[in-house]
Amino acid sequence: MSARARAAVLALLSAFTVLLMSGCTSPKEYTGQQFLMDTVVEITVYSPSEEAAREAALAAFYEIKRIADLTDRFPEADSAAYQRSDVCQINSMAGIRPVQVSDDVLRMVEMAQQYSEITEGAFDITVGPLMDLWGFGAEPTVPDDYSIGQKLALTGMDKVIVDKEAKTVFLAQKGMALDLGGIAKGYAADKAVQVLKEKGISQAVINAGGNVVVLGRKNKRDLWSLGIQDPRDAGSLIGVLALENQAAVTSGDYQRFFEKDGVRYHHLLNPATGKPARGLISVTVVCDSSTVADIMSTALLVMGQERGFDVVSRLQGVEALFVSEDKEITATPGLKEKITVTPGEDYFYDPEG
Amino acid sequence: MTRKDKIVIIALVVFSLAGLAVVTLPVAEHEALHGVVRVKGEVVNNIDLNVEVDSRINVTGALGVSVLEVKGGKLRMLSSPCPDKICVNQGWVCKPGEVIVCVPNAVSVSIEGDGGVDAIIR
Repeated sequence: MSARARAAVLALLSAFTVLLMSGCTSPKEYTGQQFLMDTVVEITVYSPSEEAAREAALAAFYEIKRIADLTDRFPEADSAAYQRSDVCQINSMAGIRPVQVSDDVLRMVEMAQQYSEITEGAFDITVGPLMDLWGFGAEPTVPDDYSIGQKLALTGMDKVIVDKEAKTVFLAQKGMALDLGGIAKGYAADKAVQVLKEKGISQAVINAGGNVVVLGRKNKRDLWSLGIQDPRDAGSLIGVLALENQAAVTSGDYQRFFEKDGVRYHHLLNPATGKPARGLISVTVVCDSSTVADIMSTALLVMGQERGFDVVSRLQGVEALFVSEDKEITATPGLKEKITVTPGEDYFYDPEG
Repeated sequence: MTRKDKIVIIALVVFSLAGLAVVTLPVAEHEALHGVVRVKGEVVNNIDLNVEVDSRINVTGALGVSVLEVKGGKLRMLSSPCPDKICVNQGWVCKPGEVIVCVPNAVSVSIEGDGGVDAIIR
C-alpha cells in the first residue's frame, strides 16, 4: 500500500469515528411537573446545558402560575389570592363598576369577544353562574329548568363591557360571573412558550392538563408525536398527531362529568340552553396558538358536528378532529396530513370523507 | 501494507464499531419501562416495570396516602383519598406517555420509556 493510500484510509476511518462520536452530543433534557390551574402541568425542555433547561422550565412554570393567579375564580374571599385574581375583582364588581385589569386578562376577554362572534355565541366566558348552579368545581347536581332559566338571564357576551384605553372590564348586571376556564390554560401555555423562547430554548413540550404545545421538532428526522386519548377508554388512543411548533387541545365530555340516573352530565355547557352540550364527545383542535386551540375545542364541542365543521373550515390554519356520540371520527382536510387515526373496532373513520 | 498498517486499520475499525455499538445499543435495549411517581411535582419513586415484582406502593400526598398497584408490568391507582376517584377509575396504564394523576392528592405517575408518544392530549 502506498503512503498516499494509507493516509487516505486513515483519514476516512478517522472521519467515520469522529462522525460516530458527534452523535453522542444530544441535547440535555429537563422535565418538571407542577400542579397548577386544577390540573397537572408538565414541561420538558431540551438544551445543550441541563442547568439552562431547568432554569427555562422554572421560568415557564412561574409564568403559568402568574396567569393561574390572575384567572383563579375560587380563592377564599378577602384572601391575598382573591386580591390577586382579576377575575374575582371583575366578578365582585358585577353591576357596580368597571375594574382595571392586567394586560393578560384584558387580552383574554378581548379574544373571548372575538371568538364569541366567530362561533355564533358558542364560546361564552359569562357562563360562570351556570357552572356554579351545576356545581362543577364542587358538589355537582342536576338543576331544574326554572333555575337554569334564571341563571341564563345572567349570561351573555353583550353584557361584558371592555374599555381598551382604560384597561377595564365591566359586567353590566349584578350576579354575572366570568369563567375563563375555556381559555386560560391555553393562554398560559402560549405565554410559557414565549418565556422559553426568550430564554433561548428552541425545543420543548408543554402539557398543561392535556393542552399541549410543542416547540421545534423532536429531532432532525421526527416531529413530536402526540396521542389523542380515546374518549371512552383512557388507556387507548384514537389517533396520533405529528406536529412541530403547534398547539393541540382536546375538549371532551369525559374530562369532568358526573352521572345521574344513567345520564352523563359534563362540564361543557351550551350557553344557549344552559345544559351540557350534546352530539359530540370529543373535539381536538390543532393550530399555531394554544389560546385559539383551547377556545375552539370548547366552542366546536358546543356547536356540534355540522355547524362546527362549517365554522372551523372558514378559519385559516385551524384544524379539527371530531368524535361524535355515535362513534364517528371526522377530520378537517388540513388535518389529514398531520394525523394517523386509529379507530380500532369501537369507532368509524372514513379517511376519504 | 506493513504489519503496523494492519494493526492501525483493525484498531480503527474496532474502535468505530465499538462507537457505533455505544450509540445504537442503548436505544435497542431501551424498551425498559419506568413508572415515575411524583408528589407535588417532585420525583419520589422510580418503579422499573420490567423487573418490579407485583407489589403495592404507598405514596403520601397532600391529603393522605395513595396506593399504587404494580402487576405484570402494569400499574394502577388502587386507592386515593380524593373525592372524585378519577385516578382510581382510570384503571391500568403500561404504555409510554400514559399518566395517572390525582390532582387533589398532588400525586402523579408517568410511564416513561421509548417507543411511545411524546405526550397524550387528554
